[in-house]
Amino acid sequence: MLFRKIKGVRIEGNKQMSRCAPLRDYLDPPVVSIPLLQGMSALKPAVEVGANVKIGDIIAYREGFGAMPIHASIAGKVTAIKKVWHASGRMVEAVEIENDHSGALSDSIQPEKNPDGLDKEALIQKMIDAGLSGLGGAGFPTYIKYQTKCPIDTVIINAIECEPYLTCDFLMSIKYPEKLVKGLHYFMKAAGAEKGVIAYKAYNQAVEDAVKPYLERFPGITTFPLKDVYPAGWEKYVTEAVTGKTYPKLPSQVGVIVNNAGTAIAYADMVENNIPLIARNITITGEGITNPQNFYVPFGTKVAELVALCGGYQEGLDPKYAWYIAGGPMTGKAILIDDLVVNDTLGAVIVIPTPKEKLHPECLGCGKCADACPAFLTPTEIKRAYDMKDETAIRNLQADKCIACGLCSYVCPSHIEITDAVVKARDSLKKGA
Amino acid sequence: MKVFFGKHGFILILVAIFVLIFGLGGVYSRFMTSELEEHIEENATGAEYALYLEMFPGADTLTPYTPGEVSKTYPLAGGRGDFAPTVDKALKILQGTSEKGVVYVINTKGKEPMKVGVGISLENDACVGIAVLEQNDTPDYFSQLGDPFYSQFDAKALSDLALAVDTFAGVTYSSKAFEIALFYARELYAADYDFVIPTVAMTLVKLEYNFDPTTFIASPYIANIIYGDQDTEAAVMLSASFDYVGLVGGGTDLEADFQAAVKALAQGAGTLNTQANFVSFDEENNTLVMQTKGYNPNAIQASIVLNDTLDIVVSITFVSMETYANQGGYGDYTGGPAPAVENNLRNQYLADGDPNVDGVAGATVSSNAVRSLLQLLDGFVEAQNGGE
Amino acid sequence: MARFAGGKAPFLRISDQPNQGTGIIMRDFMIGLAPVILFSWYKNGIQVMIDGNIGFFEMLYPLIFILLGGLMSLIMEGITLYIIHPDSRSLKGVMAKLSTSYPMVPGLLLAMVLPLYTPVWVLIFGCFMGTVVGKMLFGGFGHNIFNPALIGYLTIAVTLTGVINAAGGVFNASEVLVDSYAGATPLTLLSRIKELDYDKLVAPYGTLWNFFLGTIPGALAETGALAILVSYGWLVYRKVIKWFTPLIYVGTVFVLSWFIGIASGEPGIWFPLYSILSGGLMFGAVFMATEPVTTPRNPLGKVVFALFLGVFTVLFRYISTLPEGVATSIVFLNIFTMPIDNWTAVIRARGIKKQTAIKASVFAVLFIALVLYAILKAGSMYTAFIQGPIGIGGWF
Repeated sequence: MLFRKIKGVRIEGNKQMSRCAPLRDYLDPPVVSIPLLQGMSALKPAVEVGANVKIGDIIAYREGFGAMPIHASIAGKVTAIKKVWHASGRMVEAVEIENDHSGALSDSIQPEKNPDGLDKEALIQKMIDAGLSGLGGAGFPTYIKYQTKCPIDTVIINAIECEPYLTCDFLMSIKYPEKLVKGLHYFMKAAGAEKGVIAYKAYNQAVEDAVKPYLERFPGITTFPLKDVYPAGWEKYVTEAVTGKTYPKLPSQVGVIVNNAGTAIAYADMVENNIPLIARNITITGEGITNPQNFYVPFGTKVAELVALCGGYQEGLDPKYAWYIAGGPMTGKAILIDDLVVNDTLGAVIVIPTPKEKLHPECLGCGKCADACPAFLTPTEIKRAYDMKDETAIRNLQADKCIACGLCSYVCPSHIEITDAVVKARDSLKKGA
Repeated sequence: MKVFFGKHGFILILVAIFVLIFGLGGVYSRFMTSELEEHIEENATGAEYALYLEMFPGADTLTPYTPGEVSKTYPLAGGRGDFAPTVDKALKILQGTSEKGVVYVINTKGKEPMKVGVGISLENDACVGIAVLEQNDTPDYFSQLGDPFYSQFDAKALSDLALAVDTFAGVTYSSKAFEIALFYARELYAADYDFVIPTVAMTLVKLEYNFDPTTFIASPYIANIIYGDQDTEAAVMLSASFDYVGLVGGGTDLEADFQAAVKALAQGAGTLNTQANFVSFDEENNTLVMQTKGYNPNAIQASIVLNDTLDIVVSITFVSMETYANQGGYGDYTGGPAPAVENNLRNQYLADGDPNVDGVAGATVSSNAVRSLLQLLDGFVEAQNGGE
Repeated sequence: MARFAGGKAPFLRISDQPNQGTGIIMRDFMIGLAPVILFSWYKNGIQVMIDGNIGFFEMLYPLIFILLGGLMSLIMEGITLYIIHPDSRSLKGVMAKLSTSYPMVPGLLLAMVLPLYTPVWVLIFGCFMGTVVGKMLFGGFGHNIFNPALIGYLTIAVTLTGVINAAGGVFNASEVLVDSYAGATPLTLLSRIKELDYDKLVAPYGTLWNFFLGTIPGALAETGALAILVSYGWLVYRKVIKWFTPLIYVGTVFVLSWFIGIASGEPGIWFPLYSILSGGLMFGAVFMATEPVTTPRNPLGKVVFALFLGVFTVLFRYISTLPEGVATSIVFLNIFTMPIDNWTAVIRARGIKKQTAIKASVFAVLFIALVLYAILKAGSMYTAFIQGPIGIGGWF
């Protein structure tokens, strides 16, 4: 339909800051604090203070929707269960483990004898056992996607990373291309899909070059380059670009499952070595960092340590007057201190100096936000309806379709917090419903 | 005070700028408007001057000058009284430095006021052209004046005693305006330059209709004059356009100068109604044919039967009608097709013998025409009677 | 818990970049006005002076007049801000507010659509109506419902046309001397003679090429179609306006005029061309119909708005007694900006579904009804000099 093709907006990436340095492993931090929060649900701790844990031991359970275990990311002694700063901007309970540097592995971590012999059920059970949740940023439990009743024909690995600044998925992909392809292969088996697609940004030719040698071994897997626009990494955009199909709610409705590249790499380890989800890749970057880099770190690592590894803060930057943006610059949250810990959804920490307050004009009504919106919403109208507390209007305007990509605020020439208003309107609907 | 200005000074300055722009802008706009009017006028003047220069081949410059004061009055056409033309401006036409001629712009009057430029050449004391600058006469009439009319002003010698303008049939009012302008221009010219208006010693005693059926067709008017050094008296027969025809009862014709003078005087007198005239007279049947001019150049004709002594009107028949302005009607009159109005007036006259019949509303022009005819007819009948 | 920074996602903003933001948009808009202003100056000032019909100070008048419009709006807005904001009654406070409310624009636009010989005080009155009444009383920049420039324009058109005509009117000093213009702009001529005849409507002004270049009589800046196209290109290139709004507006008028021509027996292409090139249509389409504050925000809304603008312009121009119609139709539709925006936002978000079909069909039915009415009514009001081969003129 006219005016209903997702166009996306080209955003200056700032990726070159952290792109060149190789992915660095930092798997042995002195202490980790694994937050007891996943998505919106609090976790129930399964260990006592003082207990000794090995890498991969279960330390907590997620209950209710997406129930699954959570594992220790280092070996050592549980010293406390106390509140730490979480990437969501709140303080949450966390299991603090002091590293004994023994590197002892849990008994469950054993190489799988015949990974190709596993059937669909077993593959999905592995996701649950390993506590696999999406590493793209939403932290959605992966197995739920695979328990769908819809027939799946395509699994798409999202190596696009459309957010500016972020480079960790890209670096993971070119460092572990074999695991990436294998992970996709197992995903396809778990979903019963015939086709697998690795979607990447067209200018990241390195991704295709890296995975190409392995494609022959795994039939049905192809690569697909996408334009450099935001939000090219959105499930709906990827699905539409790769398959040409568009869906109303979930990609499985058109037979597609989309997974993040990091998730696929972790899944390859799970299937072949039974290693649960205990570490992730993270980008530490921003104008405030001396030497921006990417790390592969266990969950619970303190961000301050990573910043120190990057050479600390840029000269002249007062850490008190900087923003620590947890997540991508488009969708993340700005936090005022670096006292954060890494969790499964934290893909990046971007340090920028606090911007100066400027006087901005009123909404000029240019409609750039409506143009940019990938969900075809009209943010100005939703904002107006939200200001008038008109819930019917908000629902009519389909505010629930908002994916909080942040484009409307990004393009707004008057610096209006329009994304914030739309997200609030969307959330008011959820509360009401 | 200082504190006040420190705090509010800028707004006062803003207001001051506002007022300043309001004032100066207003002046600027007024200036623009007046300039525009001037430009339009200049342009119009330019076009007007080009018209004058055209009259004098080879001329290249014009200089306005103040003409001598001349006040004269001339009778207007249709007996509407006297009119004193005025001079709007006068321009000398130069070729290099030598004077070629002069143009007088004269306020004259046809039916309505009219402004006419008259070009006079210094070389041969002749009118070389005429330019209409403004006129408000009825367009339907005025537009009938074409090249044949205007061309009579090319090289019209001012030394011509009569200097008469050949009126264009049906457009007498407008024609008269040109004549007045021409006469007045000659007066001005005589006042400004070395030119004497030719004069002849002659007085017009009386101008009247010729009611003699044997001669009234060729010469409908008779003028009684006194002329010459010896104050000779004479009765002169004149044609419809006041041209000299001959003396009443024959005799030696007047000299050419006197003939022209008679015409000029008769034409200038304006005392006779020339709307109606005789066409023919049939002695055997005592039938008189007359015509009168109404709305159109095509005249209304009447055939009149008289008694044997020609002093009683027996019957009047309108044998042909003019082509009416509105098909089959008389302008606003809707009482019936032609000749309803003519017959109405005729019946009035036949009933009481008074030629000053009441006009018919809505058909004024036709009524006037027929009334003139009846008056002339009455005059004729009375003249026959007067013999007794 | 003040651990959240004041900022909200996203943390990248176009408006923070040095060459982006509303200020830049407005700057680009002003640059976009420049070709039209210069053309208007050339046509009404320089060319007339070259013709030898005016002097130097008169030559400057068009330029000064337009710039004065902007200046007067600025001053009036400054004074208004000073009065309504007692807390910021200082040069700095007022300047800061002025810097984000773009006060020059209404005055400039207003001055550009007025006749050349408009007295300055009439312009000032229009600026007052536009800036103070049309903009500041609604709450200032971003809150006005009507296009401020057009509010000023319409007020002047209703109350002070006689004053303007008495001061010299629309013709410049060269045009006023051309007899064939007979004191009428092309559209007043059309509303006078009500006859679609090339020889009567176009020939007095030259050819359609003159219409395109803008060398025909008309308000200061509205005639120069070529200059307006240059501006259009610039504004689209700088993404200040949406490329399709003016195009759809002008296109609707073009197609409708053509149909009206056919309905009245004049199928020639000259008439639709004449329609879009005469009067303020092009100017209004590029500079007024795209004015962001008073027009719908979402692209579908802009399309609907432009379509209706086209129909109403034709209705006002050819059926009512107003010779123009552009200003009236834009101000008229400004009223409906909010509902159009709301409905089209819903339609756009949902697509044409059961829930939105009613809204969509309301638009469609209204539009088609107006189009048909315009064609039938105007087609019967006008007569064509030459009966074309398609003889449906007699049907209505």
